[in-house]
Amino acid sequence: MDKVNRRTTLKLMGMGAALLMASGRVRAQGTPTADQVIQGKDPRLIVHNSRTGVLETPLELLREHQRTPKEILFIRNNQVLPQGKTLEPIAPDGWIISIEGMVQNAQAFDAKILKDLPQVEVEMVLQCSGNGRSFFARAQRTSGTQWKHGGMGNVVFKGVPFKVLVEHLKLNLYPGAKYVTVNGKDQPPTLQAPDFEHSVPLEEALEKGILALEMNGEPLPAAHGGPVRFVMPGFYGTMNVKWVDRIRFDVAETFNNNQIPRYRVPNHPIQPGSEFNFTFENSRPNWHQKVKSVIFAPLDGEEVKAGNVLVRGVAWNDGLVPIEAVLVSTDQGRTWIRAKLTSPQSPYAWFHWETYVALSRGEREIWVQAVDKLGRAQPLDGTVHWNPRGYEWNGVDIVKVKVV
Amino acid sequence: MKRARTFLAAAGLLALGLLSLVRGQAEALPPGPGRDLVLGKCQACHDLQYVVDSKGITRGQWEEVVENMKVMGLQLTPEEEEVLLNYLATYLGPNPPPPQAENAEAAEPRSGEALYATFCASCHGPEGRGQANLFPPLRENPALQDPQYPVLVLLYGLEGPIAVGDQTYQGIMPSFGHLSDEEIAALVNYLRTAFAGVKEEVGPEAVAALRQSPLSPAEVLKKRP
Repeated sequence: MDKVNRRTTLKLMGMGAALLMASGRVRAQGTPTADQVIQGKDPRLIVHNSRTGVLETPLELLREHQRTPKEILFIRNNQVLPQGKTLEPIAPDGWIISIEGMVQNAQAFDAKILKDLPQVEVEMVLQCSGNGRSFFARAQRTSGTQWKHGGMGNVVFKGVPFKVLVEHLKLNLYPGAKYVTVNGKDQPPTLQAPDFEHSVPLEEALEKGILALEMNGEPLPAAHGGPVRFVMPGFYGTMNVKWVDRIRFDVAETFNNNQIPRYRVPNHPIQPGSEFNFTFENSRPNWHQKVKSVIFAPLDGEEVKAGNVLVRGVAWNDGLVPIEAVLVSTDQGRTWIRAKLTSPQSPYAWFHWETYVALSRGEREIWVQAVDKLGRAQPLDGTVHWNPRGYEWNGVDIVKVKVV
Repeated sequence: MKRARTFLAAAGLLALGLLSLVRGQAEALPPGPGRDLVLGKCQACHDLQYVVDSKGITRGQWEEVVENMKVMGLQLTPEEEEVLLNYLATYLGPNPPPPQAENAEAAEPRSGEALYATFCASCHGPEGRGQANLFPPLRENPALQDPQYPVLVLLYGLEGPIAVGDQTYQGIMPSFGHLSDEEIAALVNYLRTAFAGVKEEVGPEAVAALRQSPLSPAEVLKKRP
């Protein structure tokens, strides 16, 4: 080249950047791609944190599958097992789990025995309690990962019912035991940080808890908690503790930082932006998933042709009762129509809904609200549930489309 | 001959384009007093995306975040906490000042020792002894004998299991490529003299040369002596 002019320089620099991005090696901000964070993940996943692994699924990918494949399933790790950043499984043989606390027969066992105990399968929505956090910014942004809708998936877990294990091991629980606390083999990032663990009500753990060994018909991937994950259908993702190490029966919830103040919401509404001093009495943990619907098509910001437009998506709740109706509005909530609802076999899984709406040219909004059989409905303005850490967003879902 | 030169020139320009991508999340943090504290203290356990993601929250909310981080192991003197909160509440608050051109050239380059205290001590310890199982020691670390490898680690970060002595470390070291060539050279020279007794100095040109070929943190691992 005799002379490198500015235009050529810029063009080549741009090509360099484009080449790298196209090859998927480096994302726009210089962060690793999802497959570099967790081996096996689809590189199109959004990377929120590369250290422990926090990945979000774009809706374009999520909506293509009834059961979310492991390659695109979101992931949110507070801590991570060193060998856990892969979709490969870890064998349960030699994986020791210990039982502590209010049992007459405290013991440790090799997880391999779980393979021979009776198993159940449950299809369920796995959802991060921070999913939808970004929408709280409509009132006041909160700290934390700004998930949109991709912090969730619909998967099938298979494993030993917790009740079966308790009986098989002849634990003989003391009558006062009210909670079960599960801690994983993952370690905190510094010596001072508390080791992640969560408590759930013992009664519900015995009713629906599962020690999962498989996901979607395969051995549970290490990144998703394999070889053994404590699964609570209908509960938010964080309560499904990965890499089970210790199971403790107790009279109370753990004092661990991750049980309080983290992963809790106030019992009553508070002013967006206000501070809140969490206690066991004035707040509750992110246990039961709130009733929720998400629009899969059209996507926010999409351009659609005027006329009859197919609107579709999913809805779900904590599984206590079925979703009864999904309502759709195109005039910002003044009038509603009921969508066609398809119920899944499992009460914890995605319900699918769809309907046609007539849209004329211009900027339009589509609102969707799910109601369940207990009468629990999504709020028209989700910020009514504003809380300092932005958990449990379940506002009526709104997409803005340009109708041409 | 002419064709080869053209090709090399083009490749060089492509590499320059990649440079802008390598700078990463550090650039998403607006310049301002206290920014270095964020870079030095907030990458021990998670990458900077968490900090950047919370941009726009109020001072009260940032105070809560910092309180929670202290429970997680963040250590700050009262003065550092004031500076840090001022930075977060101002530049990552609801009303950040308009962005100004960063004039890194005008700023006095800092000494290696000062850079170590700001950026490295929170993980590798004030004496370079690291933290068992978590962050490797730099004191008497044989990797410092190599003149290039420490520069690569600072420029691009490091990921993957390494053995130092009889301990294995599985962590992730973030990149400090946002520092200038002079500062990286000063820092590497400080590490080598203070912790490894090496007198031979590394110059800024050596750092600039290594910036020409960006590596991923996993690729840096392969270069480990």
